[in-house]
Amino acid sequence: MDMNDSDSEARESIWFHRRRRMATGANVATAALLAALLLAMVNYLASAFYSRWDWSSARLYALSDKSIKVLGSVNSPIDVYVVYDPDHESYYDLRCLLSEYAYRARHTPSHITLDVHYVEPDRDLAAMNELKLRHGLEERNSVVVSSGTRARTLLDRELYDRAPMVRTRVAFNGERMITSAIHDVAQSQRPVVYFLMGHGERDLENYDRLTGYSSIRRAIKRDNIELRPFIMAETDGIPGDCDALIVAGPTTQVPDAEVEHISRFLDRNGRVMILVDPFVRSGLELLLDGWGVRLATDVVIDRVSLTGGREFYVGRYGRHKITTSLKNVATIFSMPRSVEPQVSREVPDSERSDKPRVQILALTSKSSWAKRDFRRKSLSFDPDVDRLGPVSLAVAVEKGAVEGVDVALEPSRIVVVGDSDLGANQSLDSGAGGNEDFFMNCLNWLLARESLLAISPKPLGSAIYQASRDQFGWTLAALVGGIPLCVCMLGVLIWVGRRRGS
Amino acid sequence: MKGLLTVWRRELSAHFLSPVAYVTMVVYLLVAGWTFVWAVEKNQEIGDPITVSLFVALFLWLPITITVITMGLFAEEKRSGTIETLMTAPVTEWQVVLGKYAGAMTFLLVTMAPSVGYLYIFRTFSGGVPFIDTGALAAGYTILLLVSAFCVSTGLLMSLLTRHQVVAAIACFCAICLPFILRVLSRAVPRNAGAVLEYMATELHILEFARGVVDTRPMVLYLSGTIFMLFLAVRVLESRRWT
Repeated sequence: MDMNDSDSEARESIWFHRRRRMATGANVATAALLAALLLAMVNYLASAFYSRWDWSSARLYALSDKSIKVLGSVNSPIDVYVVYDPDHESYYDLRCLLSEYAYRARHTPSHITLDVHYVEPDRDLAAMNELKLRHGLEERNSVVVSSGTRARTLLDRELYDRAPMVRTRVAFNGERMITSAIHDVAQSQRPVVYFLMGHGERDLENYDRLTGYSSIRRAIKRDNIELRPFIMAETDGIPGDCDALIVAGPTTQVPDAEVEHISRFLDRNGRVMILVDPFVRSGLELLLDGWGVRLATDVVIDRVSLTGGREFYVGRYGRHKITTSLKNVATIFSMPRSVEPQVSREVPDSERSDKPRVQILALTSKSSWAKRDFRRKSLSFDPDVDRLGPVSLAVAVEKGAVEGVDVALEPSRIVVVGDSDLGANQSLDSGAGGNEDFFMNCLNWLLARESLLAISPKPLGSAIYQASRDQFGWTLAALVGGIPLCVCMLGVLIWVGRRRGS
Repeated sequence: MKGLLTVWRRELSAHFLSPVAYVTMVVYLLVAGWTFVWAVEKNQEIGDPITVSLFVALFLWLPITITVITMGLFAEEKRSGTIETLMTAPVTEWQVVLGKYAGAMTFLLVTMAPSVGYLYIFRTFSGGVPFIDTGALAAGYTILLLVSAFCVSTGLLMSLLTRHQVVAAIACFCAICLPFILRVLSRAVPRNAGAVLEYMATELHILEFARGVVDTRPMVLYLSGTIFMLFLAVRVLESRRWT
């Protein structure tokens, strides 16, 4: 009987402990579950209401006020497709920058959505095909910015300024390019640019490595601009929907009637880009003279040259919205002619808006000169005839707007460049990097998209470091030898101290 | 508070008076220093910020270092039976857990502290760094501190769940490595699940913070994760009293 009682008590005790253990386990599990729910809720809220800051010295990923203004002016959702391999050197720069765009877009008054999609070219084949079909994606390592049916593709080489020759990255252009793309795709209408033909001008369909203009045509198209070649004699004037006109390298004289049409177009607040080569009588000289620009009959030679003084880098730019983003970039000119402002009397303030304002865009170095007679065998400087540098190679003209006065007045604008090779395939593909930027900046300024040009590239100074193998060896010795040795000695001292103490 | 400080002091003396601790520190500094120089040399031509090389080197050896530090926190006490003495002392479970956690964190921070001078040493010997981006350095150390805090709390919980140090070490290492491989995992799952995994991927957080970009989302993630792990550890420790 006693045995049965103790058995029963033992069994009861075992069950009691089992029940207690189960109850404790259930208690811990319930607490863990509730805490996990709380954890999920906290992080869900944190993902919805978050803040970001850029603490880096260069502020590579912080957006300028101009970009924030552009985001604020957008009303439709924006999709950004980053078509990059995650191991690509630009991937994390883009990721950080685009996260900032998405963050800022949420805080605009219109609360637009800016969704960033990361597409791996080798993995997301369906997404790649869709981008190719819908937005004409041509190559990997690109960013596609789209809104509805409009899209703009940015290539990796456009996102960085690179040092001439060595091709290392010196500045990050991401903000300027992406803001510009958002601005373009958000616009309801694409600007229309007419390209004058019929006088031996450069050919947009020509893929020739030296003289063709096919690369600049692709760049213009990528900038969401509609480019239409036209012969003025066939259209009897400049079409009414023309936002800007390009006259690139005429080899024969433009007839007076057509010059008259261009003049009237400019008087109607038109925008014209003129690229003229030396020793060509283009017929535009008189028109430009009236706008305060002097096209000299010369050719510019620079000692700091690439080949025999005829082709050279230009890195000195005048202060203008067009050149703001070209601080670290060189542009190649090939046998240019000088293009300079006319020397004129001082204009009183009251007349200032009616007078064309001419500003120099690009200048040669002090070791250059403008050679008057290029047919002579010698290219050397002749003090009697030639003019010593720096020589102006490009100017921007504006009439109708007064500096500092914000009025809704559309000014007339002209850009004159003394070399039509500026936009040729050879100059664009030379690796200097500046020619395409210079050309597109001029065009964007003419199209009044200059607010975007003022976003400067951000120098990658903090990232650039060069050390020799020996220097790496010394650093390695200090880090791997010095610091651990100090810690090791400290450990030995404590160990010895403890042994003596005991 | 007094109980917490007592446990913390006990943990500190256990760490800093043990030769194993110094071996851990020396090995970590050796491999982290070597990895840093290797990464800088490799990244020289790409033009990535030097702070990225620094934090990649520091994070790469973090899981194994934290595993070594935390695996014995409770497992060793259980094995040797000193856990009973500790639990009968006039300290609460919270004080025990927080005291041990603070001790492990202090030791880890002391181990990593010399790395602050890596960039300055590199500049002295190479003369190649024009200036040191202190903002990016501060952002990188912020995420290093937060990730370390989370990993130590995870290691502490794993150590509490077993009495065998080897089992604790394996569990610690696997649990700590998980956030580091979420980026790779996110690429192998459907897009929506991948987005959630990417949100928690430590690799992405490190590479963004090392560039100077500070985001509150990962900060909240690691802080809340740390508190969650410590809460679980306290509940598990409390449950010992009732079983």
